[in-house]
Amino acid sequence: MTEPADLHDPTTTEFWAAARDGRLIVQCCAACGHHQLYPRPFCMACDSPKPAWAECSGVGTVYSCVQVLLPVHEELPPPYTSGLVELEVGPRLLGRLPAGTVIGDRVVARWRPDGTERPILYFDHVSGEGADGPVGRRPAAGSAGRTGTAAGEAAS
Amino acid sequence: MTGHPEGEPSKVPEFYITGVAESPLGHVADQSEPSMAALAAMEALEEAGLTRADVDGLFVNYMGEEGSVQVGEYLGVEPRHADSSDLGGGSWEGFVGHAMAAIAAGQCEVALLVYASRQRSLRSRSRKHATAPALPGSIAAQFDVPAGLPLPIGHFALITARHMYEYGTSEEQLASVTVTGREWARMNPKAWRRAPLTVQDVMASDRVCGPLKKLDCCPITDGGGAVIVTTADRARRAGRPPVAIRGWGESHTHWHPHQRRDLTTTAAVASGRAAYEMAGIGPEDVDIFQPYDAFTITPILQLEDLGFCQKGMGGEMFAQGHMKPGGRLPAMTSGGGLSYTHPGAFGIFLLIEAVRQLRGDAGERQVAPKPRTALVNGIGGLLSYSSTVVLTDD
Repeated sequence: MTEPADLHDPTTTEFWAAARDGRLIVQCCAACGHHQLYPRPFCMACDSPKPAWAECSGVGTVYSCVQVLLPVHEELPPPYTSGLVELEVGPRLLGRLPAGTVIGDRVVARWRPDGTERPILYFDHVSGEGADGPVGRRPAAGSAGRTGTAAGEAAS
Repeated sequence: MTGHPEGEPSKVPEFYITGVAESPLGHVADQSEPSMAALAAMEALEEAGLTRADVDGLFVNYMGEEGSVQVGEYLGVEPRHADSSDLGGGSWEGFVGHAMAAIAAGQCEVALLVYASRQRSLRSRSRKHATAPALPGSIAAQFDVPAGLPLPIGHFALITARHMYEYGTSEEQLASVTVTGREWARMNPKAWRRAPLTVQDVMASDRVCGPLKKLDCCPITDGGGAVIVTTADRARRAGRPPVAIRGWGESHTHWHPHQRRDLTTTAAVASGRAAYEMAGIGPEDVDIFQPYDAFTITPILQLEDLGFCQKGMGGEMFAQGHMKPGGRLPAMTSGGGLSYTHPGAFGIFLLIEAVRQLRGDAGERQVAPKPRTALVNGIGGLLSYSSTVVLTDD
């Protein structure tokens, strides 16, 4: 990616500037408090114009995740784990996840610079809640939601 | 409508499918995509008792930029109503309703819905690069591509994993979807995969993404088809019994997976509700079901969202064998996308098979007693779009 990040999408300039700074920001409606991503010029909950950006903790819960065994990007040899994370404030984001992640795990966003205008979004397990899962009962029995064996999968 | 002597709405349907045809299927080495579309179109028109000159509505997706324009030129058709809407693989179910609207508005009388692809021969979906490059600056390029999910399978895998988590759906239940289609495909001489298949075979196939294994995924074939939608008046010329279009609906919910709150519930809920309401029927009145089985999770979601079982019970319903030959709701009766054919988009083949079953034209795989009501559900995108069509034999 050689062009500036905002060349094609001026609406995400602030989002990626924050990401380069290691921060995760989401839109927050001043009128109703609804949080949303991707950014839009109106609030999806109450139609108010111009939702402002607000910083968030990046903590969330894995909504779904899978182990990828097909080659997709040259720089990203399989196997690896990716999935959808629901942030505590509401919006969901796709990102790369630690090996062995399962649905329901608590994770936190971490931007990894890759030399472009847009760093790559990774999630780590919230400290003390490693790949073996949070303390307490697992939300699903058996293999449901499991991303497959972590064997051979590099920790990210 | 208001003049009915008993004060009830008229039961006379106004729209019919009067011709259906497949192009050559499988690995097609001796035709181009437009020539395959033309072969299917000519055969469907002949069945309908019509000619190219009668076609005044043209409905095309995926046949190049401005698809209906390119196909129109190839066929020598200059339509009064043209539609190149891209609604993914379910576009042709959508086109049925768009054609009804156009006919009702007096914009055309003979609608040709057509598709062909040599995706297998041309290998336009290489396994080496499982994602098409997203447009720079698009939401997908910024928020989706970096996560490294292969398209489309990674997104279907996410949905499958979530369904397993929420409802306890098992990989064996997913495998039973493929086995169901295969039992039908064994009776379809045109099916691409016809060898006997067990749940264990599917379970033993290579894992490709999350819970999905190779045999949870459709093959990539060449193929095409054509469907004629027309008026009651024109239907009288048809060489085979016309099939009435009794209900239709469409909707879409999302494009990016992060924008759908409940990823395991699809637009089939809305499109099905509209189609049932228009037809004045419910799921209990359906004799055969044609779901869109590009991946095993999809027919499970469609069963649930179209009211054939409680949410979360679709996998168990497949595993119990209700959709197999002899079952109470025969489904995927051509063999489905998983075994019969899947040239990138499968929607047109669902209509073709439903019409043949309703006419009693389905040969060895004909459902007995002959079904009278068929429910067809096309899906497009990443479980983004759905169109439902209710067809009857009178």
